Amino acid sequence: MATTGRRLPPAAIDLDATFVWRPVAANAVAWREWDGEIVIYNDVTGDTHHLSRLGSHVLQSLLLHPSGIAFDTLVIDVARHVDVPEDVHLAHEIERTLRDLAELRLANCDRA
Amino acid sequence: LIVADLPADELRRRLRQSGLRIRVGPIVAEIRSPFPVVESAIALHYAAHDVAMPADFADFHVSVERAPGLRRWLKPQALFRFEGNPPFRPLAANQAFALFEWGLNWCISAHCHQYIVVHAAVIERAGRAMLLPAPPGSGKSTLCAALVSRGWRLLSDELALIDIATRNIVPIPRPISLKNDSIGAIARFWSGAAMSPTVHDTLKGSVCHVQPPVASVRLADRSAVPGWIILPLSRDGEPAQLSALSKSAAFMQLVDSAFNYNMHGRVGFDALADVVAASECFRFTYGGALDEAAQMFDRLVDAS
Repeated sequence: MATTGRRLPPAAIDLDATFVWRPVAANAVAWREWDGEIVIYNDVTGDTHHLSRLGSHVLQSLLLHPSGIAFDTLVIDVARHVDVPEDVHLAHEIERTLRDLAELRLANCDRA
Repeated sequence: LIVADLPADELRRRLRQSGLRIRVGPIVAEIRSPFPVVESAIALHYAAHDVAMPADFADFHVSVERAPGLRRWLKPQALFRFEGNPPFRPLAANQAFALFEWGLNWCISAHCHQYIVVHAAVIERAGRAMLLPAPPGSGKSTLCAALVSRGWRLLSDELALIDIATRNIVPIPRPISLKNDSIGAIARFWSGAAMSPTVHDTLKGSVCHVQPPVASVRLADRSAVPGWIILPLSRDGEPAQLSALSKSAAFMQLVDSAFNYNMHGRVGFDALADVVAASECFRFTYGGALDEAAQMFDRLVDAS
């Protein structure tokens, strides 16, 4: 993910089913999507980011669930959108993407 | 009244005493300098620019003066001042006009925050602006000069001024700055180019300026809508080639090339995103074949 602005320390992450992932408040970001890729401005940090296709799918799934979504459900949701099998590889990629989004303060993990 | 209408002694008097006020796109600059090289370069490169009246507001008061101290007798230097203060270190006196141009670039990029200012060349054809954002050495100014010589209107070879309210590109036509190998390339390609003498051993190597076309200067009040974003990359020996560039990548290039994007927050994001949305985006690699490049860009306009 390409980024402008400062880097932030990683946020706490937990993939336990009792935790859910939430997006940054929808009114705190401005974004545009072109050809499956998103560029996004974060009011909280003042930074602008270019998300990969997977990052764009993950963020869009999160934004559809403002009250939070469990990691396993998120994997199913993203797999349906990108039309790939829900396997360990995809789960690993989504986990890595969530860590990136948390670092960019575009998502956070919290108890359900 | 344009600069060319001023008799030589009046131009010299204004530059040395009261200040020469010229209108450059949306700004008025008041210029003072005792250097003959600045005087002759302004007479050449700003010949078609309007002279602003003494009562007109001047956005910037700048001067290129003789640097003080003992060096003034041994190796004379030129010192740029903005509102009386020197933002840069002095340079050799023979670089006085280049210093003026670089200083004016700085004035605009550091102060014209009513625009989003992007480090990019901008030209126009059929009412649509083509932005060429790129780092130094990418061949941006060479390509800009070559296309201007083939009828494209020059808006700027260095600074794209994006009007935040309209998303249009505001012209600020000034001399085209060429460096090193591109000086000879443009001299060969554009036989009618009015070029100032090349100055060697500057911070950027050898530097020369090309007079902006009179037609471009006369249309300086006519903005252009965004049409294309082209990322040029000069690579020796490679054929000219246009390839697709994603809008996301083009957007991030504009963000990275903008001087004051962060200052505008979400408003700046929306403005740049609208410019990208309205533009066709390409990467352009070329090996110096300017004829081929010009034909390719003509076809691009025809296809739009």
